[in-house]
Amino acid sequence: MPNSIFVTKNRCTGCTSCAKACPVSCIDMVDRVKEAGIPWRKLAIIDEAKCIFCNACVEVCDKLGEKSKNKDVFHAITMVKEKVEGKNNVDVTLYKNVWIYAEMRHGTLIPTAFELLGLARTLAGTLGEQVAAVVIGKDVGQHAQELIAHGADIVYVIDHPSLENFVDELYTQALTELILKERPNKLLLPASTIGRSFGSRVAITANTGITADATELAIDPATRMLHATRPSFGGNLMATILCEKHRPEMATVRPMAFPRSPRVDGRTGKVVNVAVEASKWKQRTRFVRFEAEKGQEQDITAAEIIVAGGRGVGSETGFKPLEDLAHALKGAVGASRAAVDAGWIPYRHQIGLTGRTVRPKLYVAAGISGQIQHLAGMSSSEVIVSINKDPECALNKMATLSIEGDMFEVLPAITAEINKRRGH
Amino acid sequence: MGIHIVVCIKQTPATSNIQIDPVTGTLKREGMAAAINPFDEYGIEEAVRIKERLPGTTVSVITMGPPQAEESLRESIARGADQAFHLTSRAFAGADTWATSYTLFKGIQKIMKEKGPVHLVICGKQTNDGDTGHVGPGIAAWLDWPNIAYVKKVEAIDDKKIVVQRMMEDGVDVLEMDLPAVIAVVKEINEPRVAGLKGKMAAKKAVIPKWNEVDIEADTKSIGLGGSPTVVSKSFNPPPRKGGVKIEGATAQDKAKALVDKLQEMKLI
Ligand SMILES: Cc1cc2nc3c(=O)[nH]c(=O)nc-3n(C[C@H](O)[C@H](O)[C@H](O)COP(=O)(O)OP(=O)(O)OC[C@H]3O[C@@H](n4cnc5c(N)ncnc54)[C@H](O)[C@@H]3O)c2cc1C
Ligand SMILES: Cc1cc2nc3c(=O)[nH]c(=O)nc-3n(C[C@H](O)[C@H](O)[C@H](O)COP(=O)(O)OP(=O)(O)OC[C@H]3O[C@@H](n4cnc5c(N)ncnc54)[C@H](O)[C@@H]3O)c2cc1C
Repeated sequence: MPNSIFVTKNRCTGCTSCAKACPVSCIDMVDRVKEAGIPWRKLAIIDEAKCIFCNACVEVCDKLGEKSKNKDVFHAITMVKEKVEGKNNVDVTLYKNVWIYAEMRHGTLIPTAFELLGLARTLAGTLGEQVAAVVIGKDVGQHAQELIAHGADIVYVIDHPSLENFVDELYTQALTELILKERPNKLLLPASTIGRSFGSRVAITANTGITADATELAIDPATRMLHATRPSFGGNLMATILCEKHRPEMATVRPMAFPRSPRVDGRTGKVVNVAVEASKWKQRTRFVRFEAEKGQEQDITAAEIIVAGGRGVGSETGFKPLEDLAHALKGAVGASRAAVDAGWIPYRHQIGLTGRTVRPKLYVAAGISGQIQHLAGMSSSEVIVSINKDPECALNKMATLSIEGDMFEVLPAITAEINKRRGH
Repeated sequence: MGIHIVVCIKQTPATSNIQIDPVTGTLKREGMAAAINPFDEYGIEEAVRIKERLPGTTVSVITMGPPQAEESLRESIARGADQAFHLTSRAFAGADTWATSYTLFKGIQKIMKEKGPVHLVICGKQTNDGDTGHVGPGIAAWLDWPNIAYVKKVEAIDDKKIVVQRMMEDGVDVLEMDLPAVIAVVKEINEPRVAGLKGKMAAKKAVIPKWNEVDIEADTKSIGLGGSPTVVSKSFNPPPRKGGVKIEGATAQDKAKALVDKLQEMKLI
């Protein structure tokens, strides 16, 4: 048995704090058999088969113990981690520099690269190492100078006609070969469709671990390890992930979570044109075509401002006042599942658990009640405005700014007010 | 000609029951039921639809999970799968996505050994608990098969190749892959059907093999917590979002003015 965890019965008060803290819900509260001298009615039972040994329950129980006057209770959970030697542990001192993957999407360099460069500069600063960017595609060398101006010390250019469009297996082979040769210490990718698709494949091919969708990243100066923290359960639980014995430590980083590093003209760096032997690669996937989204719609996952509507919008035409406000704010239009399921707006606008996750600077919700599955996709927005007839609905309660009112009156009034102040 | 599809499913907390404790801001888990990860329902449905297109196709379902995950395997059979396989052992517990995809890879190899070649593996886009989306591409890496994630439509499929649409932020990519291959599907791909009576009967009767690390010939250094390169070192509740300011005003216009004032103060406009 590699690990074990158990509850010391006499110390458990049945307070449920551990069950609430558990990220994998493996703790049940059961009724106690009555015993002399024990007033508590419930007892925590941990399902070891489900436990991920993250220590969250131990921490809350111990914290309660520190606060409690009664020294006979709390400190009730004991965890024994019997560390099994993982295979292929590496000599971590051989790995240097913080890398970012600069995403090309249909011929365009995605500005998330500049967010990653800013973050990488901070991390590399703590480590006293350099920042490198990797760009993969066809005719992508032209972006090297731009990446240097935004903070890269080195740019690896992997350029080949077969890499014109993103294909998982080709990009994986290209990036993994470079990783195995150059041995980066950390590697950050955007948590976009492309980054999330092939990040995991690269990690496994390069035999290392990867954190998904991190929003807080830091280096522990003592261990030089990357602490990557990610929200889960719709931002209701934060988990910090470590990769102790494998390199590079990898993470996908949520777009918009970090500011873009500024452009510094005249900044210098090294450009490395990576030799490509594409004939060695397995090529079992063929890119057929790209169909661009019609219209000049903004991509909601990259939008800084989103105006979203729910069941309260009532119809397809009901989205008009939202579109008007989004237009005035240069934002994108989002929706709850209720509005998507009703057929008022296409699925790609859906925000939430089964839709897109967004983190704009400003999220304006109209006619959305704020069910947990919706919050899962937007609760880490910086500023939330909610307009709802019902002042008691969950979204109005959690919003930074809430308005009680009819969206069909309030939204046009906001749009008019903004246009007025802009002198339109 | 029929093909053999393996759908990977995970049993996760039933999302419709997730609630936030208004006082502490933490998740309420009391009485939380478990169900098939919502995205995996689309995976099962797509496999069943391919079976309808290509008669003679077999749909297998596999999960790595605790004993109670068997319910979800039976549910998958009720929804149209032909057979199910359960990877279950204490030694699998605590696996990260690296070790999870390794274990599923070994399970799929075992299915191939017992039931013949597999042409297509279907995963969901992500789960509603771990939520990484890593496992599908990870299985492909282990199998050394091509893969495509975020698939929103299977345009064509036969026993040699598959043509799919991939949902991108700025539109749709169309790609063709040689089989065997792995895809991960998004919600837009279909509308899952509910289980019929025939399916429910089959689910009740099905004999579901349980395989542990020895059965699938897994390297014990590559499974479970010990075989995982990553660990969850701590998890904590973020400071609850402070309930904000209610914008007051007699009319919609007054409220709009007050709101725009605030937004300007915050430099959002
Ligand atoms: C597995 C699963 C996954 C899910 N995934 C998602 C997801 O990804 N995204 C998502 O959004 N949901 C998701 N849901 C659905 C979710 O549970 C809710 O049903 C949904 O979010 C409700 O949408 P809503 O807030 O628009 O509608 P409702 O909850 O019906 O709220 C409508 C609101 O509009 C207000 N209103 C009505 N008229 C007006 C008006 N004229 N002016 C102002 N306010 C008005 C009402 O007061 C009410 O608060 C999922 C559910 C499940 C079970
Ligand atoms: C809060 C939290 C954060 C975590 N963060 C990370 C992290 O950053 N990196 C990391 O490596 N691990 C992480 N883990 C561990 C991870 O959740 C587990 O490895 C889990 O077994 C698989 O990952 P997932 O749930 O994210 O699945 P996903 O990768 O999101 O699942 C995609 C698809 O793979 C298939 N699938 C997934 N799991 C199974 C299964 N058990 N059986 C059959 N099919 C399956 C399904 O088709 C599913 O739709 C985290 C766990 C928790 C609780």
